[in-house]
Amino acid sequence: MAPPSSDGRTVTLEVFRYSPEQDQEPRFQTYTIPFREDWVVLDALNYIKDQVDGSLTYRWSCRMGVCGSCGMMVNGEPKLTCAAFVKHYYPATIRVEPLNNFPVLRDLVVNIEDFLHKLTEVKAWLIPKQEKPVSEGEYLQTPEQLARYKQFSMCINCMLCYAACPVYGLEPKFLGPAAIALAQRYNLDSRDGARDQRAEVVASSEGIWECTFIGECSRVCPKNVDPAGAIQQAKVSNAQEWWRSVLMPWGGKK
Amino acid sequence: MARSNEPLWWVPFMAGAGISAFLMPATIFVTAIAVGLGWIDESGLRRLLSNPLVRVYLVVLISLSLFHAAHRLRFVLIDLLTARGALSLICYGTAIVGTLAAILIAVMG
Amino acid sequence: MATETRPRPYVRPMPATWWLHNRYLFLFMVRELTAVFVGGYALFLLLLLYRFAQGPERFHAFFENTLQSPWVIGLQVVALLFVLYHTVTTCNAAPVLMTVWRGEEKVDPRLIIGANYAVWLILSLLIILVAI
Repeated sequence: MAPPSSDGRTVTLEVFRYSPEQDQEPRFQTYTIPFREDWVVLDALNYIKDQVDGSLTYRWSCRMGVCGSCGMMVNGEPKLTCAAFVKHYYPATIRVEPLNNFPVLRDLVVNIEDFLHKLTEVKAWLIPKQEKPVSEGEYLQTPEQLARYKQFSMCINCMLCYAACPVYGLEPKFLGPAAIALAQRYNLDSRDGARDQRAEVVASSEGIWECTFIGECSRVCPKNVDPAGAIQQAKVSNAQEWWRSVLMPWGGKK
Repeated sequence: MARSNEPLWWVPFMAGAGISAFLMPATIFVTAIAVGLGWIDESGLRRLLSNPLVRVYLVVLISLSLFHAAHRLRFVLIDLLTARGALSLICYGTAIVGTLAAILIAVMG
Repeated sequence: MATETRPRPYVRPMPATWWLHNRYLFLFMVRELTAVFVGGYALFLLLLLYRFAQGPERFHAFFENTLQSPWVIGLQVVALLFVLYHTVTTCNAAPVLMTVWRGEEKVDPRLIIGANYAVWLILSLLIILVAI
């Protein structure tokens, strides 16, 4: 990396460090590095790793808000570090920590297994009502049908919503915002037919009913997915179904 | 995993949220400000309370507000103290007893 | 390079003061605690019904000593402020629960919020006019 065009200004980062081999407790390490107008926090971390301290460990990939791997706590807020400008915080010290509510493996890297497991639990993929051979052509959909779920399909699995969710922090069994939003994304898809299968998990005691509609998930979402909305809408439809089955047990499923 | 029976409590909670949001501020205005300023006197209030429609109104408002509060406070207790179990029984128990009491008083009174 | 260390993930404890972490969480907690006043006032209305059912003498005493007491009125005014916050948060949350679609577009949430406030105002006016 070319050395930053320094006008003498510097910025200080306080970075969460944890080495499972050496540390009993995490510690904060302070780095003072050149300040550049056009840097995001991820650029600053890359500068530290390349020029100052090669042992700093963190995840990143696309650095353009698509891959969802560089999520960290920046001054206590879950952020994609590739989209959080240093100048937004400058001249204050920037505190960088791993995403809240997840176990820390090393420095800024968290264990995401729980989330990946939940994604498979809710079957966050398309399950057609009836599988048909390729020769019969595509599963067609109108723009109107697409609009119903499109917002929920923008999720990049960055897990900022899990880091922001106090319910998940208090009860790690909770399915959490993104998994439910993605379940809802497929439930609302006109080509999908697996709503009932997903409901066994989504409407279980570890699913939507744990949510108290705090709304932090939707506030921090970098893709405007609105998981809080997805969860509340899932509550409405599941509650309707539950009462229908209680009041009209002979009616069967709709 | 089985589907939860939470909708049993969630629907009264939501109904109570709406009913109390729409009706409670004006009701408090009547029993606090209108009474305090003398816009409504004892005989006026008595006339209101003897009206069967007013009683139905009060029973609905009391009952659903209690179910709303019970559910919300149960989750506050979970969120703040991670307290579950017996506490939810107390929350909903109060709402159920309060509803029965309101109906009884409204019918007998 | 061979490492014999097994990963020992560090689990950060959740502080009991998590709801003071930012103003949104604080306001969420205020919203939830409005339920104390919603429930409390409902119990107060129950008491009002009960005193009325007990006959004119008890009701007279209740009206003079309780309903007209500045303390009770003050407490009700405090309750009114919290219940108003409950009303505002409920109306503002309405479009989250009822998404209305017009073709490929969601109906503007401000329209749904506005309709809720309108219903609230009309009902409030009606209640006050009928009561007074």
